[in-house]
Amino acid sequence: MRDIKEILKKSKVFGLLDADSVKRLAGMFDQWTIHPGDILTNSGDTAHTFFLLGKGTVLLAMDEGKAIVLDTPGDFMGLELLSAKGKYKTSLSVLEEGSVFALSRQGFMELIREDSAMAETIMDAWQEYLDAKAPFAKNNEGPGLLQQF
Amino acid sequence: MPKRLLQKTMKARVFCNNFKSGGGHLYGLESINASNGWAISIVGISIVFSGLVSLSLVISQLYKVLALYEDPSKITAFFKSKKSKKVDEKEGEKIITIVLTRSQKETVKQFALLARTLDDHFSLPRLLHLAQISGIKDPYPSLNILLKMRIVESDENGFFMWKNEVSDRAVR
Amino acid sequence: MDALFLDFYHNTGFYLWDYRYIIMIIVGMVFIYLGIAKDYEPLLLVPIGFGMLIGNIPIFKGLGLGIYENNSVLHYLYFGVTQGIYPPLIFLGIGAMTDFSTLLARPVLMLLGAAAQMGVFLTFLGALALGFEGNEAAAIGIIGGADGPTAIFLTAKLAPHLIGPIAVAAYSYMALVPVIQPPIMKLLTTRKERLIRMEEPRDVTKREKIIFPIVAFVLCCFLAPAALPLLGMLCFGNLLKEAVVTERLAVTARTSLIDIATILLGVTVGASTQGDVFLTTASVKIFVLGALSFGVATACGLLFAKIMNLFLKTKINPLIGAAGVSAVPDSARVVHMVGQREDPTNFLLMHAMAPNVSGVIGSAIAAGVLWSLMAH
Repeated sequence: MRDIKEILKKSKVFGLLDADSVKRLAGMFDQWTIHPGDILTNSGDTAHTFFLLGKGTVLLAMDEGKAIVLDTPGDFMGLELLSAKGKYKTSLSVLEEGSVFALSRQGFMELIREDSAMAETIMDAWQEYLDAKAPFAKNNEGPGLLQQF
Repeated sequence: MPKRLLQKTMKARVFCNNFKSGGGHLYGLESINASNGWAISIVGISIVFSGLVSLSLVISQLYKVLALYEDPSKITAFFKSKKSKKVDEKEGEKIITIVLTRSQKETVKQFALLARTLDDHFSLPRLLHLAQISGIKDPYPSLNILLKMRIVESDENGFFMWKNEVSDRAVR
Repeated sequence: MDALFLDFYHNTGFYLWDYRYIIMIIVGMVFIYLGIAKDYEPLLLVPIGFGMLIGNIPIFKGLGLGIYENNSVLHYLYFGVTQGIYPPLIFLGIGAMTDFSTLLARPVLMLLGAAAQMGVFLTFLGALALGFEGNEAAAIGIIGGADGPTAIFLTAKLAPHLIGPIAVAAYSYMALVPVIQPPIMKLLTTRKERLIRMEEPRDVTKREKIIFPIVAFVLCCFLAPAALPLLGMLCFGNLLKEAVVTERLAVTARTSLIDIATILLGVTVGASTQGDVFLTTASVKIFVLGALSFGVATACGLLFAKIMNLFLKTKINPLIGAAGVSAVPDSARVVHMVGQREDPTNFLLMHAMAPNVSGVIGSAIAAGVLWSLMAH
């Protein structure tokens, strides 16, 4: 099983971050082992976790029957947690044994707020990633709420 | 804060309070005029804008000054356009050759039958669902094998296609 | 014996109740429900909601229980609100958790944070027109700044008797940013404008980030000294964060300290909404003006972004103008989501953070200006 730092460094998205950022980010993820048939998210469930694929294959099923197969370490899942109603719009089923690295919604929001540069790098990379991997993907979620003072 | 405006504001408030204590109550434009509302608003928004504009001007030059401080030769770099980030090319596609067991070959055939009931460009979750309700053994890892062997391939639009020639070769 | 029981009964809530307390208790429960069940700003709505329950238990005056009784514990806790102590502490925490690099990379977007403050002054005029006095109108206007601590701070200084309704209105509308802003955004922008992709920002160095809070503080406070308590703490908190060597202090400021201040502020503001004091025509007007204020501030930010586009070579997405109200980071996220509805691959979140954090500075300056103009 590959180390989160290695995944982050090799990933197209996080590979752009500096060593300190990678170190900080690595500490925020929890590693989960996944098995074929595991359902990581169900469309409509509360979006509480963002996933980064460590190893294995995951089927990301969207509305209208569309799907993407994620099998590259560093692939993203669950960015819907940014959406307002906080509901997953996709279902994630595990096809091949492996691991994912999970980051809670709260952790992701803290990252955006406290380290904008890092979050911005991730966002830009995510944009490119989405353009390349799933240009047909639609996100119709409404905006939601975050902690504010 | 401009002293004249402060004095004007104070006078207006005294007038306003006197008026109110006399039993009347001002509304609408009268109230705004009496409290010197227009002037306060204009001065207020001007100060906010001045503050943020001057701050933005300062910080827009700050990095240039800092760059100069760190390395005087960098000053020429300020006028160079930023390099646009290059999007990485797609990773080399990997095709895995898997020798199927007899039961796996059987599963591929069953999947092929299910795929025939679907359109040419079909929904992968739908195929998986059909496999589950049809009682195909280990549908998740089996589907993974189909993907790895490129028997099932993405059409790049979110749907998938069944590759008959690859499938026929695999079950031979 | 009977007289003793009767006497005791007369001191209970069952005897002293009034329909206004019941209304406020129900409102408090709704706040708690929204916070817990709907996850709407739980860190704010739950303390305020429970504070409403605390403040609306009918009590026997003179026992030193109520928040408005001089010798009560609640009164001492409320002192932090009335004297404007909690808001600067919260600003310290906000400074210690906010990254200004998006703003440093695109300083021009700071103007959007200033434009949104026009909502504050337009609402000030509206409040004057509705018959509020100048100091009250100023406190009501600041609701449009979409910044709870700033609204409370200014109200404590100018119109302490309105803290309850203004604080509740400010925090309620902050929670409703995702409901209030999107229709205005759609109304004032075309699809083509919403599809604009923002230019990639430059990298910001650590040195810039360290210098920024010092420069911002000195410059803004020389111009509007009354913004000192809020901006001072905001910039100080940010310096603690960026200096790295003071990481321990920054961590305390953005975790324990801000949480303690938020708890005390939330509970006491909630408790200050005693039905007999809170349920007045003035409160209704404040709520109406507060909603207008939010809407106007959003519209001003959007329209200013469109005006900027007339002059800018590289166009900006006008949606980010709506993030000029300082509800951080929610209004930025609303911008992101509205943009994504048109183009799912357009990520505006971090771009919107620039006007969003400049809105924090802008609303603090606006509060300082109003305070200095009205306090005399």
